[in-house]
Amino acid sequence: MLTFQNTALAGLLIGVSVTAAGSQVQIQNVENFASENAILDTSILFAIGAREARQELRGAFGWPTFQEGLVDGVYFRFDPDGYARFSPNPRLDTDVFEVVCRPRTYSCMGRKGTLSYMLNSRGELQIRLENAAEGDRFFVVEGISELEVPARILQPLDDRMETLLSSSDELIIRRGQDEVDRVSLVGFGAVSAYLRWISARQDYTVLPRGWPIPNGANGATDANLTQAANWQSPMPQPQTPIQTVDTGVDAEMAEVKGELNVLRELLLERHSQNSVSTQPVASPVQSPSQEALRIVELERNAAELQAELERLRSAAQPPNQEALGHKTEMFPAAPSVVASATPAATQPEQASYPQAGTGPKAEAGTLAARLEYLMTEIGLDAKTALMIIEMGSEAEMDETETITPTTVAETYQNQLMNEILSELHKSVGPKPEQPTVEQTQLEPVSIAPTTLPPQDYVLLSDYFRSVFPQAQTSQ
Amino acid sequence: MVKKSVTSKKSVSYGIALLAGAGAVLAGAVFSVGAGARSIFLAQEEEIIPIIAGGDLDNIPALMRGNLPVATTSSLAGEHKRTKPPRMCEMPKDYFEKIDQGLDQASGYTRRNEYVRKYRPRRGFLNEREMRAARTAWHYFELFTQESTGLANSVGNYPSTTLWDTASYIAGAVAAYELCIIEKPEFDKRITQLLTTIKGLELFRKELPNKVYHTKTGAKVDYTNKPGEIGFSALDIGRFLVWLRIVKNRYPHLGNTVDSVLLKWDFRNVIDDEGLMFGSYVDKDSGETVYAQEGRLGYEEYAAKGFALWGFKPYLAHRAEPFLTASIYGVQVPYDGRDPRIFHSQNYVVTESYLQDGLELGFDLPHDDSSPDWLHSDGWRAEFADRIYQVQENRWRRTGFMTARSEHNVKGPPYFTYDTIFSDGYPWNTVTPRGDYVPDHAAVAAKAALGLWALWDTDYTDVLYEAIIELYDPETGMFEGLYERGQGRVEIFTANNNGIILTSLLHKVQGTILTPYTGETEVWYTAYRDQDIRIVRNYPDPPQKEDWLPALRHSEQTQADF
Repeated sequence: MLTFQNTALAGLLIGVSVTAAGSQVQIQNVENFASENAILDTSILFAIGAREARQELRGAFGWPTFQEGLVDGVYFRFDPDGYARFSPNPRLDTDVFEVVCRPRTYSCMGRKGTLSYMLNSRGELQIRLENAAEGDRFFVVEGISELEVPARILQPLDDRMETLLSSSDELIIRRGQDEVDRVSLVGFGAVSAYLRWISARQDYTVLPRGWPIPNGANGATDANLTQAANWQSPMPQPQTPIQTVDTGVDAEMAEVKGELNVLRELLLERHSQNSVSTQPVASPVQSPSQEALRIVELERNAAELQAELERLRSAAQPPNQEALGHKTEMFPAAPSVVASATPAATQPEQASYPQAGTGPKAEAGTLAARLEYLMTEIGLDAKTALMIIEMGSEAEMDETETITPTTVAETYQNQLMNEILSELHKSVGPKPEQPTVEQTQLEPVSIAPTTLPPQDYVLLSDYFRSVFPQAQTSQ
Repeated sequence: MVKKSVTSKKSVSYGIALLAGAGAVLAGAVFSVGAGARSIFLAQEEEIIPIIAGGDLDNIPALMRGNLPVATTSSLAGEHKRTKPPRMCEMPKDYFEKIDQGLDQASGYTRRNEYVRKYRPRRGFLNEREMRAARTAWHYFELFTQESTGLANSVGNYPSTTLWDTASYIAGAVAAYELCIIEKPEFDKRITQLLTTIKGLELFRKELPNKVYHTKTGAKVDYTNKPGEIGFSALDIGRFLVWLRIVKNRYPHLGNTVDSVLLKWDFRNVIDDEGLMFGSYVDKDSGETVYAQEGRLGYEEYAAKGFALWGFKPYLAHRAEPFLTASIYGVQVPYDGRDPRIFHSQNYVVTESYLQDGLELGFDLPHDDSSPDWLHSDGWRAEFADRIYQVQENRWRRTGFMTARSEHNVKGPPYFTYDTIFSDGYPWNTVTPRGDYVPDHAAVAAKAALGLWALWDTDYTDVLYEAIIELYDPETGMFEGLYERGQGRVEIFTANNNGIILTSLLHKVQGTILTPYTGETEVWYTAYRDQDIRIVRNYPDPPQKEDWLPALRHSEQTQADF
């Protein structure tokens, strides 16, 4: 049997259900049943189509409600204390994943046969196989095809490994040529999502992409029910630690977790860069960004041209700032477009580091502050902290490059601008039949095209016809 | 002259005169007969029949109706009432040599729809092993009765209870007293304190007792033992009424205390005009009380008889219909026909309710206080109970699994299981209250095993007896059962299990636990006659013959069905 980091916790969880004989044990078990054990609100639906139902209790105690439903191909039921069963059979009788939670905590474990797994402190799944030994080989089965997986499935699972296990039917352990164990993985994905959902206090944002989340508006409202002040359900109230924890401490925890996530992503990014660094061409990630850059430039040019057009049109009249502003909203604003092209993962990094100043002195101070932060707050050693700062600088540089056009692009842009502006100057003249700028801009945007003369359409069409072929040929 | 006179008799005038004379005679005859008949009948109508106050012809006003004696089989048919057996320690040594077991009676229905079972109950003194089990079971109540309230915990030291489990505690106390484990001072003290506490309990919305109470404080609580209210359970109240009637009939000196408990309750919503029982719960969204039909075949009829023992008329609840049967090992096992998909209530078939009917009520109708123990006036209940027993024995014979199935507690989640003979369309289905199939929790329930042993004197129940009679922790009580799949004992101790075990052992000594009422009138029927409280709270009048639950029969299974 292999031992892992969370063996102690898993053992404790198992100990909840597997206890020694004696009346004292019985008493302890009964005492474990308490409203404080409620960590979930069964009225918050885990997936679309689930429902909260009343239990038919004959005894003096028990959970009055539970939730049941069907998601990801498995039926499920769970109690307010987190105890759940997932099975492809609606009776929940065969091929069952069972989830048990440590009383009064969000620490839960899924188990089926000799397989058990739970979330570690970093939110990664860690599986445990009772029958696995050193040197065993592991295979996942989907249909009739088998795929050998590395032994690191016994270490915290990364996304790819988790996805692989979730999409497989069975996990086989082989020792030499002998098959030691075979565990069904049906429901693995749903249980994983359930464990994360519990850990996140029934927050839908942790569920996988494509998860059938119930109505978003209601879900957001229901999620508030876990807050003590908003709790209206007559069922046992979850005695959640989050209700008693100081919000300041909570914020600090979130900050630290955010930092750790950023660091993890940076490390992963660096790892992926290293793996492709021997390639002579740019990484595949860079190519789309160049295209995006071109599009951004063109859009910016269009916006500037439009602004110039408005300026020219209103040259003879007092400018109507409100209308002008309204008009320019027809085009995407350049900064927002650029921001959307920025990798989202780098944003928390900027927010989490100490604010940087300007100038070489300030930059040195910032570096020192970052270094100190990483070493004192995060607890990294000096070498790792320095490495991360270097990586962060590279990322910032990449980001800056993304935002700032290159010199070549600038030249091209200026040239293009000059061409277009000259064309515009030729096209735009004081034509008596055209409506005034004021008249045009006071019209609602949605109906403006119907009131504008056809020349305006021609103008923009010509513009795009003139821009795109050049852009394409320039690439 | 002669010729002329003959001619005159044939004349028209003579004929007319003759006709008129005949008509007059006929009219006179009709008049005289009519007058005579009228005089006869009028004379009968005019005869004065004295109406005796309180007699059959007296249309008694409600104010006085409480004084009517309850109509029972002994009062109407002149049969001898059963008598309360002496305590075990007071029984003569030859006591059991004289009792009538009806061994010469053929099984089957009688013309009056009574039923004679194929098997007879065990009768006799308790041996040492049984006495040890009885003392151990009683020890549970010694350990887990709260001094502050007199309530006993339902499960171990978890301080909550229901009326169902409180009835089990009363059963335990009655058995302990009758088996001479405790003496009258302790018995009286316990029952009096208990009933006083129950009288003072805060009711669910001023109607009936809440489903669960905290045993240390007597406060009404929810299923997690936190202050709150859930609703009331008609089944729990029905079982509690059975045991209040047993206490009242056996111990008249406690009668007023018993009555005073019930006279605080409001029964207006628990039974409707059709005789259907309703429980209640609180609507989660609106907070309003919701009344919902409660009870399925087995439990429903048992609880209905509890209400009928106090004069209520649960006609519909007492009927078996709608029911269906499932053929299991050649036995047509009856189960409730109400579709769980529509009614959202499972139709569990377990042993317990049949055992309680047999042990406590002798499968008799509430008005029957005179039939011998071997004759069951609620015939179909006894016949169905035979099937419930037979299918479990058949399973043991075909598969080797000892089978005595009931609902029972388990340690840890899910805390409670319905270990059924049949439910949800499956035989031998072990499910949690929320419906999960948990075959690992299948067990030989100790209470079911000893109940079967007490009511069915067979080789099979001897095996059950051997499995269970020493299944105890001397420091705590009888274990809940023995896991069917070899995981050992169900290491949990409950009031219901220990109470039913004591009841089973008492049945061996004394037979049917319910004994006839020996008094004349009851406060339960005479109280509040000068107020409208009885009408508002739906308190019944003393039941008369027309109020009796009907004795019915259903098709009897006489041979195995494969």
